[in-house]
Amino acid sequence: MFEVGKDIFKRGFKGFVADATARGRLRFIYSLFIIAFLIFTVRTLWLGIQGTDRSRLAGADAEWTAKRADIIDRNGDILAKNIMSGHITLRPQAVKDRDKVAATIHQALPYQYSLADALKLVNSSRKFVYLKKYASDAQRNIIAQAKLQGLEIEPVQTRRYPKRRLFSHVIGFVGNDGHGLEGAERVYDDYLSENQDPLQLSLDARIQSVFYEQLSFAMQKYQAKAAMGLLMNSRTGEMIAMVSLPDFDPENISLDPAANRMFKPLRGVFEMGSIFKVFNTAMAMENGINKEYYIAEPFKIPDKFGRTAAKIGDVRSFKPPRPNLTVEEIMLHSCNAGSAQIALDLPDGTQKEFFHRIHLDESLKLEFGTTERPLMPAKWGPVEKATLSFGHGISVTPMHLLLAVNSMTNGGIYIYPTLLKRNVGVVKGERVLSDEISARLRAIMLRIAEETSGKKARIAGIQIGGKTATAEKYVNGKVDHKRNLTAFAGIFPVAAPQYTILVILDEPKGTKDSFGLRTAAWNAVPTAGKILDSILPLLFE
Amino acid sequence: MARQTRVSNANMMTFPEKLSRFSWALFIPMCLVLAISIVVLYSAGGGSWQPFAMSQLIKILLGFAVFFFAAFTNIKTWIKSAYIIYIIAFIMIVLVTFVGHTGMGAQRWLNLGFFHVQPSELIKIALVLALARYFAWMNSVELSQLKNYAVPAAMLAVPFLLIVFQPDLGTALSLGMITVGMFYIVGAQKKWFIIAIILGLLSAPLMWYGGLHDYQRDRIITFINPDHDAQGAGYQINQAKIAFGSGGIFGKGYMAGTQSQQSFLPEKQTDFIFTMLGEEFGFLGAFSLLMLYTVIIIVLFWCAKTCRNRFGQLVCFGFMLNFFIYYFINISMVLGLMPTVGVPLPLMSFGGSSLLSLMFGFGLCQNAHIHKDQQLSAKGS
Repeated sequence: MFEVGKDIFKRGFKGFVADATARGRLRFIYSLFIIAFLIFTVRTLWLGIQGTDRSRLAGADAEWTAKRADIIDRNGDILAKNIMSGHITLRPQAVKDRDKVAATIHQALPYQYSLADALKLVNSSRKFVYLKKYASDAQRNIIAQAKLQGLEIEPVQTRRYPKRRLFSHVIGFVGNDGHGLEGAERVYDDYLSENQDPLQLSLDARIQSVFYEQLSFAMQKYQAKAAMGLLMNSRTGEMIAMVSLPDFDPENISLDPAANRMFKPLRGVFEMGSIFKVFNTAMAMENGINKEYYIAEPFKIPDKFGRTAAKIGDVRSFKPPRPNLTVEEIMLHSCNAGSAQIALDLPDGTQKEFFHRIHLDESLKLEFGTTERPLMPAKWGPVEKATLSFGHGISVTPMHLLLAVNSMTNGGIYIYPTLLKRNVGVVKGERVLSDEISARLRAIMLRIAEETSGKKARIAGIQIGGKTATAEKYVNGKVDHKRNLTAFAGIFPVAAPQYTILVILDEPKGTKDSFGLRTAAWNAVPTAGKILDSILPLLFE
Repeated sequence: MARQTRVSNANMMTFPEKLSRFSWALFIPMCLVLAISIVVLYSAGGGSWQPFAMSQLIKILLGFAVFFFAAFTNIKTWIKSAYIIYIIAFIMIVLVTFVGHTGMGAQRWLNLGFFHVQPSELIKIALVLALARYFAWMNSVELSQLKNYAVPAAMLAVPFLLIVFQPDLGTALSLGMITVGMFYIVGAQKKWFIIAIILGLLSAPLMWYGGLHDYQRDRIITFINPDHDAQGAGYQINQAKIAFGSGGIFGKGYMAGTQSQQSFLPEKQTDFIFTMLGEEFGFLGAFSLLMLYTVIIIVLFWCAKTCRNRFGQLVCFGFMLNFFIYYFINISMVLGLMPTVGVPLPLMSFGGSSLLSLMFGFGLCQNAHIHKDQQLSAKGS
């Protein structure tokens, strides 16, 4: 039956393969098999020996779960904390007094194990059984006091998040081994597992909950697919609030779809639309463009043969006050045709250089995670230049946008954000724009909030500045007019900004109140207004 | 050896005759691995037949039907239908590219109503059959001419590119390795391999900077270095190493592997099943499985060598390469010797397409062994 051995070892490699080359080649491949087998064996053995050592050193699995520091917000509110518990375990082979162990099991867990069940388990040939995971104090006490061999308690600590969903993406969660898998738990894992003192974050739970409430409300009201809100200190880079909806429950991550775990402000790229006019205007000012553009008709971009390559028009609701607008007015009225003409008047390479300066063309390595890489245009012709001026043809993450807008308006300094509470001191940044241009941009943004699309975000007590965006989405290579992304980027107080806010709604629908319109002015802006209204007393107390 | 009675070509073999030539040495190790797979899957399901073990058992029974059919059909049937099987598999690949079911970030599955098939698994066997059919009746002069390799190269290239864009780089690369291995064994000249390697190395930077989009480059970087992914694709492999190591020499005991039982280990029932075996049965368990795989490969090798007709030789050899490459990639990945690639462990991993095509392949090798003394002609008569 088994002539394998005989054949291979007696006849060697001859078999019935006749010619010498083929035999040589077979032998070569055969030796590859043997080498692979040897490598695998050695590696398995090595991992096995190493693993045995490690688990013994660490006291088996039990103490692998290291004590972990708490996480608190800027006011000391607890965001994450470890709670002690324990598993009751049984190693039948180590049991000496079988009857007593079975009796103790039954005594501690009367509903789960009858005396007969317990005896059966104790007498079984299994090596290791979890009798009860996360046993209660009373149950553990019975086991601990009995002090029987083979019946033990494996201490575990569970991570609890008192605010539950409020910080799901930002704080993240830990795996069963007690190490952080996402969010701050992952980023600051080393600190959290090595220190006892709590980790203080720059976040403010009160402000976060305002964002959370208003964004959830907006998501329902406008039937949006997703909602994001970010608030950042313009000077220090401290993140005060970061909300991304839909979210998940960090204590029971399997409850929500896995897709909800994506932290969209860092990991989602979107075409951001008209907020890019802030950058376009800044470029125009830097290059000293100071003239009026005719915008009453859609602007035609000629190709090299003089034909019309593309037509840049505005939305139907756009009503220009005059047929010719200045650079400032183009941004104020968010005019696409004008922006496109400005972009084409810029010297070659200006856009590319400018986007690079404000880090819109690369993945950002931030303290609390790496952002997705932006999608840049493949070629940079006149049509691309024109559409880039109003934020189409380039997709960036909300975090990219927030930081870029912040650098435009805070006096021209690009500041990297942090999730840790900063002490008083100088924050390092890169100068990306002159102070003077930044001030001029702020003046326009103030007028936007006072007069045009940003009106609904205006609130009593403080002057804000802002820019809205409504970007139509590309679906399968075509513009889908029914799906868009609306956003509002704001700064306040506008004279000397202290905070920068970004609110984004993904695919909001029209409502009765908005007469079926779904542009930013009807959803993202009022949402931002409501948020600002509630958080002002908290920010400037 | 008692069984070297000649069978005349004109006569078909009777069933008892075939049965007497059935290779138990090929059959028994295969059955043992399948049995181990059920045992481990039962544990992966948390000590229950659901959701993995029962489903896999049904697929294995179906697999046996395929195996016996493939083994006891006349070998001429397979010679005749080699190209047809390839074309069917190829059409399925094309279909999956356009109407496939997307799962786990890749479009690999085809919905057949009652179950989802992964045509990239079938094409591996189909390609082996088609190449064997193509090369089996060439003489050594023809085999040393480059032009005769154009057709098989095309047979590889088209599905290769389609699979690359699914994207399933693992399967595509192993398809390439199978084909190159078969070219090597039928006697392609050594200098061609050397030239191909040099050309490949030279064109790599060109491809890298010229032919790829940003996101494709990103994917390849992640493919080469999983830690590059900020979301922590390296998590899985790390857990696998810990789980494997924590098994020690004797293991933690059946159904007592904490890493896998507590669902630390994603995909423990498919690509990472070897880890689970390592954790629960330790080095000894893992080593036993490695031994079984080695026995299977040696027996397939022996089948290839003892076959008196080229077709049978090439089928056995090609299938052995296929089996070996899968086993090699999977184990290397699990032991942390290679980056993570989505490749199942042959016969062990949960999943029907891979299992059925493997058992089909085993059936073909068994068939080649049963008909090893037949003289065959190109027409399959």
